[in-house]
Amino acid sequence: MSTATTQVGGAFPAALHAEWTKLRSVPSTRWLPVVVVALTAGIGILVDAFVAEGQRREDGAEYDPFTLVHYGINIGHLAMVAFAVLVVAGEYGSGTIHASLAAVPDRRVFAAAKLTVITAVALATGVVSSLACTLSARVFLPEGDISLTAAETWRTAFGQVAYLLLLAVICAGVTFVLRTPMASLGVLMPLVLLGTTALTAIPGVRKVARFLPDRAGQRIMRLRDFNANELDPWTGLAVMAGWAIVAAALAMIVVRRRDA
Amino acid sequence: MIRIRNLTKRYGDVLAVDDLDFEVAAGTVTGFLGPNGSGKSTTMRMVLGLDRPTAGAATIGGRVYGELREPLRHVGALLDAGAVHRRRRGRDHLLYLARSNRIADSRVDEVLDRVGLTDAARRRAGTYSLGMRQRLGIAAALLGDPGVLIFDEPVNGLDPEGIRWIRDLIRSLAGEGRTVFLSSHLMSEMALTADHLVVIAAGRLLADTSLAEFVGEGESLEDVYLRLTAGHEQFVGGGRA
Repeated sequence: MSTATTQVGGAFPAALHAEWTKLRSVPSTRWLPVVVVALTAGIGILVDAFVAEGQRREDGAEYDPFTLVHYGINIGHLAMVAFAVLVVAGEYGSGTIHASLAAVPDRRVFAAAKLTVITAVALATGVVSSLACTLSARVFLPEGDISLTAAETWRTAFGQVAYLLLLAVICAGVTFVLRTPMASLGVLMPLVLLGTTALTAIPGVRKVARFLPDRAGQRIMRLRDFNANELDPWTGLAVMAGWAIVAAALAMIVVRRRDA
Repeated sequence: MIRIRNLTKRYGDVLAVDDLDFEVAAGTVTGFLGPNGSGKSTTMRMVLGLDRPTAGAATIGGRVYGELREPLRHVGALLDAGAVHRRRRGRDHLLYLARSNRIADSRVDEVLDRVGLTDAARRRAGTYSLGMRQRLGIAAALLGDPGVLIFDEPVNGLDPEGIRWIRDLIRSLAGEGRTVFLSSHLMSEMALTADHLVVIAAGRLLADTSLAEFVGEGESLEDVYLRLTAGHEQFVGGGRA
């Protein structure tokens, strides 16, 4: 085992470099982070510029400008799901998993390197996207809607970064377990796309649905509740982080145990 | 040198590899023969640490694969030439493998040159012919200048020129003192390439002998092989090729 331990120290940076090379050398995974930013910030700007006025009149005292600042995430996060799924599934779908594991036989090093690179790219994407949403909102939202010196502005901005990052980890983890893009997207897309709206419409399910990762994690991007069943912003984020930890742990376990 | 000791792999009820025991010596080409589903690929995957043996072990220079530090510098393998990401350029496929084992980027261009893929290096692997993919897979195996090479069906789908090229390459690799472990269904090709033969069927060892002893006088390798493996052709182990 002593040889295995010394191997881990040197092998991890090399495995990270390899994962970064893989991600950058396939067009889909190279450009999807850019798509996340473009969709999230682009839709945000449109909503800020054209919807805010009417929304404020309609909502009155209940008006929450941050639902508009981060509105683009409703579409943008789908590109993040696709990114994380494709980084992992591309390895299994193409069969390069055999060459990759022959090159990095320590499965923990392999999975950890892939998850680290996905997380780092999601973090950078989230920071750019969230800053773009927040700063552009200052310009395109009606005067006085948000302030760049207010704590809540930066809480919601941090929320978008954390949400995208945790979402990427969850999607990568699920894909490590399921391996194919169809199965992974089949599980994840309903969860983040349909699950939210459909499930919360059913009375009994509402109380459970609030613990779903996207429901729990999105609350921090808003000041006000959409309905009475929502978790607190920070509690919600902690619940989503819990999902991410479980997904990453499951990925490490299955990758280590299973025959390639 | 590759050493296989009491190697066994069971998938559910099926014994895909059943107590195999043999060695692959350095400086020779060892041909690995057996009908479809006889356990050849499973054996190779266990040597590479991809599948876990149910019992026994495969070692390379006395160590199991998972203990090798930067394993591409010790063992190079071509398992499935089709296993490339179609949207990734050929050169990038080699680049990520090289970087995972801290092999210099310049080595990628060397192996591309050696397999004759320099001109196609920046094309996406999805545009490659089967022959080009075989060459890319062989380039990947050569990246770390390894002492042990494992090729699973490297001549599949190649044209005569490509077949001769691989045969000459394999002979020269063994001539440099490397251990070459090669599977193929092409008996005439194996007769021209291998020094030593290991024949298995239904996961069990049938023969482990030099080519000259195996074939004897006045018969072809194909004749002897078919007689030896008669009755095993239909066997399919564990649903895996």
